Amino acid sequence: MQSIQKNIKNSNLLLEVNNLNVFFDTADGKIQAVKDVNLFINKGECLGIVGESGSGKTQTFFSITGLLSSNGYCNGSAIFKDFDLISASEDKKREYLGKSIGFIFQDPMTSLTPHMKIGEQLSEIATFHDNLSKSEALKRALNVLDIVKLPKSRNLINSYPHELSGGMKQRIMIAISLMCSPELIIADEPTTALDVTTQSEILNIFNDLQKGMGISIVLISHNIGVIAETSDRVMVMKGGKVVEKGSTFDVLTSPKDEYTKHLLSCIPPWLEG
Amino acid sequence: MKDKSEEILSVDNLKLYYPESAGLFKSSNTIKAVDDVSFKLINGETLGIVGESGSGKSSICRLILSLVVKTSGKISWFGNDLDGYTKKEMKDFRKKVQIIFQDPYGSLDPRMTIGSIIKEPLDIFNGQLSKQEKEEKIFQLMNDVGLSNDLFNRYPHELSGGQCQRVGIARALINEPSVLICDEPVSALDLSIQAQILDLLNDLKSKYNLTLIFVSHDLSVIKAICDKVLVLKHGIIIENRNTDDLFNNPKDDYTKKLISSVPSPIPLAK
Amino acid sequence: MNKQENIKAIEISKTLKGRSLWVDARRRLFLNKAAVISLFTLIIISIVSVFGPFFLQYNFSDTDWGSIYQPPSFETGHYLGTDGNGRDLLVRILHGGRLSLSIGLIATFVSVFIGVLYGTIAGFFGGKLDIFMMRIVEILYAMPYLIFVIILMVVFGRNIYFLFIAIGAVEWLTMARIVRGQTISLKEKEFIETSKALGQSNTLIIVKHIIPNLAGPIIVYITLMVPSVIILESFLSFLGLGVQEPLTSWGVLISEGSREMETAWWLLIFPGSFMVITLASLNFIGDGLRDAIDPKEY
Repeated sequence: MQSIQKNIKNSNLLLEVNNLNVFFDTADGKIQAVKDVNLFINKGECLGIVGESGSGKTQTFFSITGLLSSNGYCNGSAIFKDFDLISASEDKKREYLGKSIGFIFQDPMTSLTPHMKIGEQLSEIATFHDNLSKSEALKRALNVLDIVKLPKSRNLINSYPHELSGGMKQRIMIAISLMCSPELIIADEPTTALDVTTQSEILNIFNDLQKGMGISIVLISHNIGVIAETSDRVMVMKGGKVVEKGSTFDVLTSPKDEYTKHLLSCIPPWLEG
Repeated sequence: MKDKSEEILSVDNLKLYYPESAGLFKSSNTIKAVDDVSFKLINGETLGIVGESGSGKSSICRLILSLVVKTSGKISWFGNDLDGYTKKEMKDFRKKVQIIFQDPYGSLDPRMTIGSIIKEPLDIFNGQLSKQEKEEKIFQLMNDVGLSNDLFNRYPHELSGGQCQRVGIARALINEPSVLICDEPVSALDLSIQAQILDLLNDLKSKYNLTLIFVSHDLSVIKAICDKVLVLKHGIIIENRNTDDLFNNPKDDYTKKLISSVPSPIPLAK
Repeated sequence: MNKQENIKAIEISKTLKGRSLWVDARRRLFLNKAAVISLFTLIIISIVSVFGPFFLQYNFSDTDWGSIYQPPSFETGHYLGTDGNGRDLLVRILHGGRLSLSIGLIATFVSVFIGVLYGTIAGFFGGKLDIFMMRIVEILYAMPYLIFVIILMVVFGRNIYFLFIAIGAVEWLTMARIVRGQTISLKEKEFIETSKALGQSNTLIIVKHIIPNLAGPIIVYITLMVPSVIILESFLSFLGLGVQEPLTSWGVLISEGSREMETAWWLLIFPGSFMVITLASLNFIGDGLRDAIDPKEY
């Protein structure tokens, strides 16, 4: 059973993380934020990460993508298509981040550069990673705007971040991450700062990316509903450790770990039924 | 003794308009944050106000407390128009109607200890109490909201979000108000802490005989604890009904859209 | 809990002190080597300036026509040399230090006091009051400052205390602007709204909530304002508008020294060095304080 599972894993395996530990040097001494985390993501699947603040869910993925703050360090392995991201140099990590791996942050308000037009911010990543010319990058930008269901208008390309709503900004963030055709997108609480109707639209976009374009998605959220509607498999984290993992259906309908059960009991009874 | 079905707060045709951009190039656009809103608050109930960003729900809270000047409309407290209140009467009103905000850390002065934060309302309204009497009251409140005594001399940045929110609640309740307005009190908290704070609010509601106004964008929370719900969109009340009626039988398309947008925590078998 | 237990619990919990933000800031400050060394240097210079002259054999106003323009020497006791009137340079530098440092402190204090009062009132109440108050500041800013000081000096005479006030009365403008800006952004914070909702009076909100939270930026600007004031005083003294004989300040000494630069280099180098070291120390301390009080994410 184990070996069949492993085989299934291998043929489609995109990212495999083993024994990941993340530490921080702080004024209060050395703190371990992530303890011995193992996970894998296959092509075309959506992995949900559930946890509260301090669970280490964000730091796990910051460490893989080289986004840890200067007082943090990690060990372990994170093999992305035969390449170990953890042991790579900063330059190598940057090659992957933005190109093969896209990262979407929680707060769309602060993630976009305030003084640059939207069109420039979209093109910048393509000219940097893929060496496209400005006009080629712009063409690609218009395509990508289509995918995130934003109008392909000149108006939008020439507007500044502060002129857009929160939902539109988040779509632009997703669009930017799509510019270099990533195989994996990591989204850290992408809808927490948004209204519920906007959230619904953004989650639909993630669904399209996964089902329609075969992009693997890691969706980090503390909202169980968001995870339930998008993820194939889910991992529950607490205090830096993975306390439960499995298919979304199994974990959410028959949780085995006490903490998972406790979390699920805290959700107010759902609206319909 | 207050009559259980007495109308204690009445809002009539409340409007809050302001020009879009002041300055050299005067724009003719007016932003209608609150556009002709009317509702009544019944003694002992929990009134929910739900809406998305820009719906005006937070503005209504601030208007009730006169933290923001209204453009027009009438707010009455036990039948008396607040506009006619003297300074003293206004101060009395403030004692009776208190508020807790969304950001647990932002609502506390970072330079003050927890003890002094909770003490402030006592100094304002009950200055005549002795130091010891005040301290006893503070510790009693800390007990009621589930804060351990040793936090008395601590500072907000040393506490968790949930603890800070409890401090805010203790501060709001120390002078025994009649109405507590909760402006998105759990939106910034972790899931398990949300549940704790909501339970706490329910307990305190019975213990202190409170009437609550509960503002949130989270429909499931509203459904769980409110008796009546106002649905707001762009400053206008779309629906004003009993909670059960609203969720079982939503009338307006916008309400239906809101309800259907909430992601279900029950996964489909794949 | 019964009353006895209650009281006991209260006593115990009051002994548990929290870790205030100031304690955190102090710790961060002491980790900054440049700031600590500068603090040390500044303290030494201050102590030496105040107490030093009592230990030296020469007086700052004693002229000695037999020993004019003496270079530094150990034997004569004129460790840093003498000036054109035979006065000992070291003692004069130390006296000058007393003056320059006290002007720095007092003038800064005056401008902070006026500036904070003005800025918090304008920022907190806003509206027409704010516009009116800031117009005044802008007009004063636009006035040619130097001419203003000269007029003051001419009208009221070159009284040393007046120099303090003249400088402070101009520096407050910058402080007022800074404080007003900070107040406006603080005003929007929820804990201020809560205080209003609690029914707190405006005066007490400013005193209890706004000013303590301004203390951070104010302290930083103070440490940057002191050197600026010292330079201003030196400049005025250099022009001959500052202190009068036989009192002296570093500005006066540098002014005199620059005239004798070619023949008596010590008259410029030593006062200049004291000035530079003090100003640099103040700047390092200011930088250290800024990093300590408003640390960026690390």
